[in-house]
Amino acid sequence: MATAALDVVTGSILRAKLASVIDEMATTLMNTAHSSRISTARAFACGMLDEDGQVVALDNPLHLASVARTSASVLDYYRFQVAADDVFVTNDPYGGGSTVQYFTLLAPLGHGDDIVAYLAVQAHLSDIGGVVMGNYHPTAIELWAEGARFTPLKIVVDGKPRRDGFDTVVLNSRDPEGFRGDLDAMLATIAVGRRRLAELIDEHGLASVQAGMAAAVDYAERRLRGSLDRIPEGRFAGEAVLDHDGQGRSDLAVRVELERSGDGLRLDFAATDDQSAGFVNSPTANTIAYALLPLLGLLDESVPLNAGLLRPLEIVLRPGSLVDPAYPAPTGWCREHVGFEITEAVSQALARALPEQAGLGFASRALVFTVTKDVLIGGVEEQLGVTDIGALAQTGAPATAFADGWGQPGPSSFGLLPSIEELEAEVAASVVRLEYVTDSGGPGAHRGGLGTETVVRFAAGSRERLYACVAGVEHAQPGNQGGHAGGPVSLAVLRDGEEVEIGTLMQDDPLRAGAEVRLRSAGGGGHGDPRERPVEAVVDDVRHGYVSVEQARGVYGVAVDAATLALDPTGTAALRGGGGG
Amino acid sequence: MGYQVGIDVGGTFTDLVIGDGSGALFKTKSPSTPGNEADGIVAGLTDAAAHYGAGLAAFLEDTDVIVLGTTVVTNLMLEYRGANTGLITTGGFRDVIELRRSYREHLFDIRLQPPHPIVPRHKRLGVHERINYRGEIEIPLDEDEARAAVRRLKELGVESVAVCFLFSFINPVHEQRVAAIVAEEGLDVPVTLSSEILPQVREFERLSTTMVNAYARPKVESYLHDLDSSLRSAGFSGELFVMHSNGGMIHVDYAGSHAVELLMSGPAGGVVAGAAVSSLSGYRDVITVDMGGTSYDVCLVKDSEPTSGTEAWVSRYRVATPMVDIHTVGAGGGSIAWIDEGGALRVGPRSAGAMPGPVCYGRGGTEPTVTDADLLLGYISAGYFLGGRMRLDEAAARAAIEEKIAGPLGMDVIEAASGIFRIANNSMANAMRHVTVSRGRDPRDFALCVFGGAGAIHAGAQAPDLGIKTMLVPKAASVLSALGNQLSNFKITKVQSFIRRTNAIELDELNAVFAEMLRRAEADLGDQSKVRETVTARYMDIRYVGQTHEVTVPIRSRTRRVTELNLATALSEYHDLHQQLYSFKRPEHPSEVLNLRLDLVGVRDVARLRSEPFGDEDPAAAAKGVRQVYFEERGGFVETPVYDGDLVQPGHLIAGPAIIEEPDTTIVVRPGQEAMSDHYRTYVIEIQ
Amino acid sequence: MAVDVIFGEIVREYFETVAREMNTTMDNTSLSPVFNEAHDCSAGLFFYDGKDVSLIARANAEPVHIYASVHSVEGLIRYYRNDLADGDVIMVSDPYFYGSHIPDWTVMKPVFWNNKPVFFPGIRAHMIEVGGPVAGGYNSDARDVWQEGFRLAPMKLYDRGELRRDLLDLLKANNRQPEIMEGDLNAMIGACRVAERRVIELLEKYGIEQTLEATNYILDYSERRLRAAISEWPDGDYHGQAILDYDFADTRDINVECTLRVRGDEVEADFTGSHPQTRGYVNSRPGNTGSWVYSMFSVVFDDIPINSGFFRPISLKLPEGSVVNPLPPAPVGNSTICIGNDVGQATIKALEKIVPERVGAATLDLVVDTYFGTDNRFPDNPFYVSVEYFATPISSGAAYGVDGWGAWSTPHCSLKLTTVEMQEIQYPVLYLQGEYAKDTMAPGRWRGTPAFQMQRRNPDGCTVIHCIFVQGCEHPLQGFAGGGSGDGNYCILDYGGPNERKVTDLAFLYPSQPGEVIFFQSGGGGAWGPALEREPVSVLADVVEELLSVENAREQYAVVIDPERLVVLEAETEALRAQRSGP
Repeated sequence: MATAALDVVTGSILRAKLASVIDEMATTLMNTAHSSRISTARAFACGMLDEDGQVVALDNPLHLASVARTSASVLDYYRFQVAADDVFVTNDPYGGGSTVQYFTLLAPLGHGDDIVAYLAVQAHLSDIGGVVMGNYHPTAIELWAEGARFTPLKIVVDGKPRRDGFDTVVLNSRDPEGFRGDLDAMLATIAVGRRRLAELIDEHGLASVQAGMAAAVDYAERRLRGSLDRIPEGRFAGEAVLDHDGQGRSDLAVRVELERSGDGLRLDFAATDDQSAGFVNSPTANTIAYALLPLLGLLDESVPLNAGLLRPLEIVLRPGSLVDPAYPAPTGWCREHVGFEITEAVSQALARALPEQAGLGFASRALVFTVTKDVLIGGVEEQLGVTDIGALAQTGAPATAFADGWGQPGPSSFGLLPSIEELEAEVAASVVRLEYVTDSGGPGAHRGGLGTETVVRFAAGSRERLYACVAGVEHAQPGNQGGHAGGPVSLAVLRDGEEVEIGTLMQDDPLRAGAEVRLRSAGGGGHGDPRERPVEAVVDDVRHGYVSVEQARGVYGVAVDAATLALDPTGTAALRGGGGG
Repeated sequence: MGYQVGIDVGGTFTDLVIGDGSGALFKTKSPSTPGNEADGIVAGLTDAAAHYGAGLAAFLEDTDVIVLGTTVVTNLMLEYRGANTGLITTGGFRDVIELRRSYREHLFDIRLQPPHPIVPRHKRLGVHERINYRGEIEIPLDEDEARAAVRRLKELGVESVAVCFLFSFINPVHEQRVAAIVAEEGLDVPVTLSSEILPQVREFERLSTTMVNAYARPKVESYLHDLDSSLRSAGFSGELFVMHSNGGMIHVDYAGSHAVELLMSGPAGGVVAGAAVSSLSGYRDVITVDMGGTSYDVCLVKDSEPTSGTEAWVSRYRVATPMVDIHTVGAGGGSIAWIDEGGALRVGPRSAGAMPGPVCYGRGGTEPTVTDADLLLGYISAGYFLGGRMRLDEAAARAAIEEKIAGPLGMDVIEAASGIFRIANNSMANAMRHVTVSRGRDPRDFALCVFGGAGAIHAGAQAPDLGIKTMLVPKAASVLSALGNQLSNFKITKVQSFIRRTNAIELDELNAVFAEMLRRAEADLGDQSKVRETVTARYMDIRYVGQTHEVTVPIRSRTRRVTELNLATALSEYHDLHQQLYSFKRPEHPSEVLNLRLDLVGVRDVARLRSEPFGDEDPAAAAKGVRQVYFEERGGFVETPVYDGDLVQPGHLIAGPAIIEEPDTTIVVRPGQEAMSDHYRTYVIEIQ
Repeated sequence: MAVDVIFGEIVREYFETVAREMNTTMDNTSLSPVFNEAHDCSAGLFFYDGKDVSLIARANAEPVHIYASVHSVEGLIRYYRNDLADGDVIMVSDPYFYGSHIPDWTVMKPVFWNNKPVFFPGIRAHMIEVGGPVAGGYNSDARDVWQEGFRLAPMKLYDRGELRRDLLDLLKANNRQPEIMEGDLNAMIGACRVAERRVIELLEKYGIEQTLEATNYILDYSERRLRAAISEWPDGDYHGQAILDYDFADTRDINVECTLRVRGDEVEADFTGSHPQTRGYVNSRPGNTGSWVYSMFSVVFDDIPINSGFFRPISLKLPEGSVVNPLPPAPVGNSTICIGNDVGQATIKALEKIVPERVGAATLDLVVDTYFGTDNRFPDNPFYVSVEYFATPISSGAAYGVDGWGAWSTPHCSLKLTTVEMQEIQYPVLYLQGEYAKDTMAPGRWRGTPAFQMQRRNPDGCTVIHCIFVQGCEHPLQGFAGGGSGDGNYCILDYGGPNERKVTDLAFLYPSQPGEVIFFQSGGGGAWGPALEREPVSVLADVVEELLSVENAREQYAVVIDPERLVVLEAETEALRAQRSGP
């Protein structure tokens, strides 16, 4: 491709313009999409690829590897059979995807007789068959139980939609309208991307736009390699453990060894445990996406997300392991678990190399949702919709060397908390409580962010069935550098006053009228010795109710008067010993 | 060299063809006497003796070989006149024969009666034993139980015993032990072991074949024995052989103990001769059709070799031994034309048979038949049927068709007759197409070799439907089976299941199995004094794993063993054969061998048929008159020349429309067709 | 007219031969035993006059497919009405998109003449694997249709002769045995191509007008004959009922009601009153329901050629939301037999009231064991799925003038039993028994077929997962005209072992142990006529053949037999019968 030398200024201008094309695509998608998963939770990514199919711009780090790999396999499949106005669709976890709910549309952009670029949209769609609506099936042991697998399919040929292709895709969804709506929104998004990029080319000329693309990729690569320089020589191991896989197997470990190789980085996952019979397996693209996250923490927002970020990485995966499973293993939960474990393992390793980087990784997300089931004539069941309770919880971010933990941990921070008002309008449930849990932040010189307690009550006449798969109950979020662990996850159902701990797994449990589901999310781990936390900070925490008087005394060694919430200096001095205060 | 006699005992006639070594043939036809076939044979031999100017005894003195084709097995089964038979089988599986893999001959007929039990349930005794698919003994034979079973059969007075155990084709030890016990218990009757008669996987097919053999064996043995002795008492001192279903001849005592292998003994000869005669005329790929009174037999001949198959049924019993692959439809000269409730004109499957026969035979038949239509349309002549030996009643035929068909359908009698003719031809043509297509062939690549009394009347109208360009009618068309018997070689066929993935075949093991099969074949061939040379052909039945239909693949081995290369070649040829037969191949898909097959052919010296030089083209000398013959393509009756077959000389060219009357055959040369008598007096008819 | 009759017959037989050739092609080229051994597929030749789709010829095969395939082909043609080209090959299976249940795929190829599609050869076949949560496609846990497998909307697999490989790969991606599925699909397409060639030959020979004339003759002929027959029936309403044991979920005793309303030369089959659709996967879509109704008429009129003309005088009334016409997304997976069979029984029981002497056992219930696992003998590809037809072979019973015999009932006998030897070679199992059982025949003037009992042992060293479905235990196949009903189906797990358990409905995903023996009984069809009217000599024959005990001869037939000499004691018998039939 043409790599006309490009002056720095034009280069950055074009980079910005390419990014703006992506923004417009994203806006279009959010404004036209049918489901709140896309419009609110932003479970999607829009991207642009150059004529060789390498990602030059993307708006969601969680999808970088997936968009790259999916596009690669689609283009490889249709090599020599791509026409300017075609559109391809796929959701294949074993073709560069992650889970069956995530559909990718890929479309070439024609210019003259050539195809000069591609546009891609990847989004979480409502349902694609399988056993459980929404395709989170905690006890699936094969991909087909999670949903239909769509290997690459040409649904638009030369601008003409293939009716049978569309019908087949839509027919396999329990939510044909919503599904079709989102699919149309994705097509509209593609159209916008095509138009904008075409305009860009008309404005600047093909050669310089392509040069701009190349420059953007090179730039990202340069920036990452640059930051990798800080990593000392040597091998640094990291490990993260997932409680269970829903199939009775516990303590599944993701292990990585991190090592400089030239001016790149080698991530070796060979020591990771074997793949699971359950739905916690992470296909390669997903693995790479989550392994990349802690490294992005080394960079700032100004670095564009594109193929350049993948170039410095050499990622070693052992086929048949949790991070490179063999078809047809189910993958349904991999975007949380073992996705988060992958991130955690890498950040552990990174923390060993660069101690100040500690605490970038950990996140956990409980899979807790209900499926609304209508009962038709003769007791025939129709699954109507899904209420994602897990999305109403916020995991506490870990504390770092620089600050207390606050908000969500980086990896899961991309999606926004849904608006409770919107939610209550949609479903037959009311949110009774959503607030921080006292003492759930891992104590430390820097305190971990607090976990939340979410309580949802289901109205009388509810047709909800509860599904859950919860991790982090056994393995609370660990602290760093002497910091303590954060509070554990817990899930309970309250029925007429009495509280039933759900434990880790629940399938198709009918919630009786008035039942309440209570989910406590994990608190972030602390950083540094709690006794070194400034006394005022502890006192503030107690005032704000982040920390209890008991924990202040017992763990932080700070005495606070329970009635007045005033500091008791002498008591504190006694607790913290000589040098305190 | 003495006389070589081929005999075909049919239901109506007994045909003989005698070769005297000069290459010239003598043919004779005499009526059969059901129940006492010897009479017809002796009558025929007497004719022959007269022809050669000798007395019967003297003639038989000089006869060194008689080859008999017989329908005795088929008849036994049709009339269920077999022996009182008992079965000993694996305990827990005594009803396999009644379950019959759920075969029912008619899909929607709930009143279809069950097949006649040739071995009723109380004579089917199970004994504890079990051999698994590896040939290992899972449950040892319970000898006491076996002994008790044998005693029970003795009480029941059985005249023949069949033994069939699961997986005996891999390990026959239990069956052999039972045979021994039968002897020990002094039950002095023939014993048929499934592991000997058909050592091949699939218990239902093997069991049914074994039972039919046991059922037919005693009667066939005595029949052949009686025949042999009556011939000898008449002075015969040569050897009597029997035509085998596989198209080869076998010794008379082997024939008796392997009765089920004689199922196609009758028709096989015709196919063998058809193949031989056609190849003399230069055609190696032919479809042979034999149209008789009640049936229409179709067989494919490729490279002058009749194709063989294993799909036969007789009287609703499955017979899976390899035999000449003859497909029979119930359509013949005797097939009855009728009008069904819906007002449709139908022909067959009911037949007037030989008795009473068509209306025109004047033997009391009242239902109009195909032959009656042929007569009205002028294809056969009332005065020259069977060379004039039988006079046909045209008026009666016309009346029957008028009353039963034309009247009800409101058409004139000739239209009706033509309708009968066309519908009969159509079903015969469809049968031919079915045979070719279902065997992966295209009829257009074949010539049509026609024989049997009425074949040459109809075939000319069928060939164009199938896109067939050439039709052959042998001079000996009416006695072709006998000719085939007279020409045939020795042939023993052996099958042995040998189940392996093709990528896991041990060459030595394979050769060992083939060697054993060859040993048994040579034993069955017996005295080889008449054999000039023996030829061994080996085959493997192969299929893609998952399929249930096997393709038989020849192994091109020139020695007594299969070499690495032979095997490799055969395995790769399998895919191409599959492609050719079934339109696709999947070399990447695993395949497996199921059975090994071996043919041992003992070639004997038979005088080649004599080739005669061409004379004048003009057939005028053979012309014997004209008559009105109906040709649909000409829109009605056409004045048509009639030729006397006896006067037609090699080289004569006869343009259609024309009729050639051989003593026992009528040949219709339709407009646009052209017949010529070639060097072997075979009529070669070219079709536009 | 006159010429039509002859020419019509010629063309009919030609078309029938074409259909036969299609089946032969399937037999010879498919990979799954369900086709080449069990023949669970069927070929048809269809015709589209621009308005209606008609079946003009079919080959002997699973009759439950026959009408259903008309339904599917009709749907396909409607779907692609404006988008058909020479060289297209199209297919469909979805139950709510012209299909019956997901595993029954219909493949069809339009045959063009003068640039117009006129004839449509089609093959309908039961695919052994269709993805979805459970291998083999029988998911009794299914509560909606998505849980039953990959849903196939109409699909153009070949577009103007060119394979759309992305569609093919999509099908393979949703299948546990993609290689076999592709092989079978090729066989289906091959069969359609064979038919296309032959139809073109016919058109070349006779031209379109004459051929269409003959086609209409063929259809009218069947219609004429059926109307003639029906008009001889007295007008009136005739009712029949059948009950399904269980829907494999939580509903039992599911009734199907059929009222045949005979008016002049037409019949309406009205299923009003049939059970509402249920949660389990036994709901029967109209295509399947219709097939069972028409099959029963074909049994009564077994000599009338089956084609759309035959369907014309018979109309269906199927209440929406009932088991015979469910609404989406009701699961339907097992309906081709469960409910299907009951639709058949209700229909033929209604026909019994009109023409008792023409009815008899003609339906099919099941004890089916679909089992899967790994076979260590073939390490390269150990996974297998086996649909055990050998567990369930006896549904045949009596009809007027004939005792029950054989295995599957007319007209389902195109299904072939696999052989013990082949099963044991292909799958890691050992059969210990497979034969008729004494004293199990439905008693009647013409008795039913004895029940079939089978024992199968697992190999050592591997467990097998079973999906065992049993019907007809509570409500066995019914008898006719006073004849008794069948002995009923059941299965016994760990037969003779410590965990012996009798199963009369369902054992889903049951893991059997190494060496475990499982027992099956397939109970046989019903009898015809009162047992007391059975000829004593026939009763004796059954005793001699060890199918009936002397006690039951007396008990069921009031025939007294000397157990030693095995002769009927005339006097005692007459006395006993007199007493039994007395008041």
